[in-house]
Amino acid sequence: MSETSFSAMGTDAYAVVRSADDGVNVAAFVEAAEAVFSRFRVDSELSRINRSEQLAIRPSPVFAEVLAIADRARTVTGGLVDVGVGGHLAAWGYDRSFERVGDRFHAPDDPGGRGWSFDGATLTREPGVRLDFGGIVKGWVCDRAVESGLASVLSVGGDLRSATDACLVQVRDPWGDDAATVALGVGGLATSSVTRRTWMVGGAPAHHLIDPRTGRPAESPVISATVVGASAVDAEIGAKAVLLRGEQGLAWAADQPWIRSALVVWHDGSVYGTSAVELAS
Amino acid sequence: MSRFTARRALAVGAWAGAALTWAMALLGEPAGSQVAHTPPMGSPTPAVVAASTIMPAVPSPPDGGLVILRFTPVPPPPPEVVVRTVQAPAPRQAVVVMSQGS
Repeated sequence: MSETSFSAMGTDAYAVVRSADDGVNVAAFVEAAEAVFSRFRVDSELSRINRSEQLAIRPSPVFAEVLAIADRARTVTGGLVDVGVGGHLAAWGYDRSFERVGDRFHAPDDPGGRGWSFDGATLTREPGVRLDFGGIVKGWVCDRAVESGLASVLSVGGDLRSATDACLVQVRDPWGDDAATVALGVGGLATSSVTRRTWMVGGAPAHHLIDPRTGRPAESPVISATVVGASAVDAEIGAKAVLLRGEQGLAWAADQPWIRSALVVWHDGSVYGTSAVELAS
Repeated sequence: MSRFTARRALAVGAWAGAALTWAMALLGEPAGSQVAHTPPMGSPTPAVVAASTIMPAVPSPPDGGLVILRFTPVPPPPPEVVVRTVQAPAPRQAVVVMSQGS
């Protein structure tokens, strides 16, 4: 068993694999997924669809698989996790890889609709709607790699999937201190934060998490949310929803059967969790 | 300006499918059992709260209870005295209103 780290999807990735070859292969798999789903690669399938003026498109099978997950995410979160906000994210300035995002003097005008639907084969969008899968793709690659046995643990950015009983995850707060060490075991864990990728718009901080209810970067008393679920995708969806629900986030999470536990870093630096959260002793 | 024609969509689909099919082919053999690991979750930049509204003191508790993992509240900022000048309709006279906001 060996560990490997690499850069992918604009962030750091970490994997536990059986051999160096597996380490190379898991990195290649993540890279292949990024080539399909990146907003910042002009030839990615996502970029081509976002540029397209066609309102109904049949995506590739792999794209369709993730699109179906995104459709479910929107349903189980009551519309809070919605990949249709890609146009809003771009309008606020995150229209290029993050290291090239610059401050802006003024908040943008609302770019308009975010409506889309997917029937399992055809994606239908309102005019001008652009998609951004965000962390859903990160969670998906972690799930895929681990479920197929390529890695026993894969973490990409804030998303992680583990197939080992003895997996502990150290969750850090936005100040770099340990918020908690979660006894994850077999399952998925994801952290969503509004402090990692920020820039200034109109003199105020902006970040990458768009609230579909306002079309603006979310304002929440939660600055970081961590969710544990059966898969990294579930955890990713749950973490974003908890953050967006703010004060009600943990209460909502505790009622969701697909969420095992959740914890949040509160705006004052305190850390709270649901009663089901399992910490390393 | 490029147009996303059906032919091009097919080409994209084929390309994407081929790329990921190749990648999926890498996902062949199962891994064995493992020992515990503690993957780091990254170290964010200093906190910036994009909020202009008054923030609640604590989360709403779930039915099963709220677990406090760390309690380090930062004292709220002192109240700010706001001075506004209001024009009365007649006689024209300035009225100074002082109020406290958070």
